[in-house]
Amino acid sequence: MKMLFGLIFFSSVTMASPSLTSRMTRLSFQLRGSLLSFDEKKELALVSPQDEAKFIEQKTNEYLNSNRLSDAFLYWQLERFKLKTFILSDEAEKETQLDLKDSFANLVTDILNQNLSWDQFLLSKNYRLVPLALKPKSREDVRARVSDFDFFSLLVPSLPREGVQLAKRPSDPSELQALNLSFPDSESRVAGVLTTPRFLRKYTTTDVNKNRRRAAQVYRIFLCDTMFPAIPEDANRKSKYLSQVFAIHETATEEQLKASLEIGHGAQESCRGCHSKLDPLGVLFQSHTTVLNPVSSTGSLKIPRATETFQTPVLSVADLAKTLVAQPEYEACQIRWFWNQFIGKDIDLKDEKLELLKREFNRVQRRTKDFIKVIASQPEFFNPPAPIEASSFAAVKPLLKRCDSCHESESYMFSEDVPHFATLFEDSKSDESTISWLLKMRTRLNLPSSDTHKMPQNFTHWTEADLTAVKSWINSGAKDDAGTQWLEPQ
Amino acid sequence: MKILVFTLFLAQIAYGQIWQASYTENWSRHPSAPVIFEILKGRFPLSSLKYSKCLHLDEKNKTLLGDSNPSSGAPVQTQPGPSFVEWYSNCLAELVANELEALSVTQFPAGRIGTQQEFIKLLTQMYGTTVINVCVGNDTSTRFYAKLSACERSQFTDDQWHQVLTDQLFFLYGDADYLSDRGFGSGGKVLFEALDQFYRDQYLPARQGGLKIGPLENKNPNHVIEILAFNKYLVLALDDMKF
Repeated sequence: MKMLFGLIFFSSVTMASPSLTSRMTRLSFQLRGSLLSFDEKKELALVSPQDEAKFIEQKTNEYLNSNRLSDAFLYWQLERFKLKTFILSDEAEKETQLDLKDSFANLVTDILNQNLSWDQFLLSKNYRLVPLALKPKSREDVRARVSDFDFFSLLVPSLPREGVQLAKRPSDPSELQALNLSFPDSESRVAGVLTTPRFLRKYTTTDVNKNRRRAAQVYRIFLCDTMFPAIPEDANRKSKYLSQVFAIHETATEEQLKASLEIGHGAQESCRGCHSKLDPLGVLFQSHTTVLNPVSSTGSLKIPRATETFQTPVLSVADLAKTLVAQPEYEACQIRWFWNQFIGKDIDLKDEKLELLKREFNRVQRRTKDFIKVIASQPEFFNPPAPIEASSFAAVKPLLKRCDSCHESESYMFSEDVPHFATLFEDSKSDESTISWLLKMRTRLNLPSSDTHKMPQNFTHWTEADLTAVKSWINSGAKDDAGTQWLEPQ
Repeated sequence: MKILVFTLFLAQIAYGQIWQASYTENWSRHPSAPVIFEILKGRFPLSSLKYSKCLHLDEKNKTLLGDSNPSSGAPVQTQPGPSFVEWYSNCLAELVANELEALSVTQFPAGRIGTQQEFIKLLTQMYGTTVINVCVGNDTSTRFYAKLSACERSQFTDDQWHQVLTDQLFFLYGDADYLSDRGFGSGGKVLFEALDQFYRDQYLPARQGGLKIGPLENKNPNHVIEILAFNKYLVLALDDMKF
């Protein structure tokens, strides 16, 4: 059954110039998160070929100003910041919608609706505070739900306390009356989304992470520098770095463990690569627990570059924001978000295109809607990606992730340092190592079922079609994304 | 199981190349959970008459629809796995069944989907004017539903039936060019022929031979609404929900 539907999910979209309906469907889907309505489809039939460009421009403006885009944009930003909460039922949906209308959500929707500069994610000093929609149901809930009013209360003691929680829950989110709170440009203790309860509450600080989680999110979201915690958050999945961090036997005493932690964690070169960035920036957030602390902290921002490392002290969170938006890495990273979101990660953003988009980004003064319009006017926006060949690395990469999901588990963890197969070409220490692993894969995939070394051993997630695809890729030379052939075809 | 084999048969006809889907990795091309629900609601407008877990997130489906890890926020699934595909195909079957159930009435379902005129307008959009003209004519009384439910394929000429399929695909997707763009053959021709041939050669004989197929059980295989419901199931099962 699985194999059957796996096969059904194949498609081919290879037309050179998409029809008006195709282009409009994509425009509608990308800008509104919905397909064309029946009436809109009929409307398309009346558009003459010479009017198509004008029609698309008109519809682009219409969609850019639609409430649907505003809702979708908030959803996308919740995804980007990894703050998304899932809706579980109609009742919970209402609650979630109400709780969504907090200062973070208001800031995000203002950036789009008012066509503000994208930099306002970091630079904004204007917040719209809303009271909590629901009474906390438990002590845990009290801690989890921090109202906007509570959050800013130490900075602005005059904030009305009655705003913290509503006596009666409104039935409609629009009934929540927001209180505008604007700080002067000189206020160094606030910086856009970084100083919202939603952000700081999600990325909490502990005695172990010491604000490194917050620092890591700054690097990930604004500089596209993604780092992963060496100590995995999911107890069922163990990291390959674990043995480096705790390089000591399980029967060790507490003292030995502490000593091992001090030596192992952070001292090794592979750890220092991240910690030299995270530790000094984490210090910047040290004074914030769940309420914004009026005492500002200082830290340091480090961005490794090809020729030199950029490092500068940041005196406050506002200083960090100003420093970030001036960096070329920030500019490229944010443009890449637009590209991935509206055009697709599956279409390569080439260097010359990135340079062109940088110029456009600044030409429109980084205004959000204006830049979405720039993106939607790129030829790549409407062009479907090239179909993936059955035996290409791109085609088998999702399948190889299944290998990784098993090999990361405990039973395989310590036997040998198995690489991540889905990122083999990126992660491998040397060409010899890559070839060695590819040869091992080829041998073990082709072993008879009776052989105990046969791979994959757990067939639960595999279909014959999946196996055939992986074998076909590896037997035809194991080409990487760039088309380089790593093995002799068989 | 047989019906699944038939579906595969259609898939082989309509598709030549492999498109390896990915999920949150290419979020902009694959819909998120709320958007999947929007799309399904648009394609099954009568589905709102009955609660379906296929249109709402619950504890069971949130993971396969791309829920995020509560501690890290990272997506649990980065691609539509077999469980998503299975969920989607089961949902199509359930929504088709709900739609047929909504149509298997002889009275206007008062208070549930607007006025009678609005309901007739919706049905006309779903099925196209050819179906309405041939099956119901100008009758907009309460007999409308009974006539539509009882309408059979034999009441249509081949040309009229081709128009019916065209109208149905237009409702689901759009014009012929769009069908071509989505890989359904020039002007959707491949799909039309496959659907029709499938009905004549396999579906009708199998149903008349007593084939039980879940949601369509106990329906008359010559009834237009059953054929079109099953067509919708087949066509959407071929769709990779990628835009």
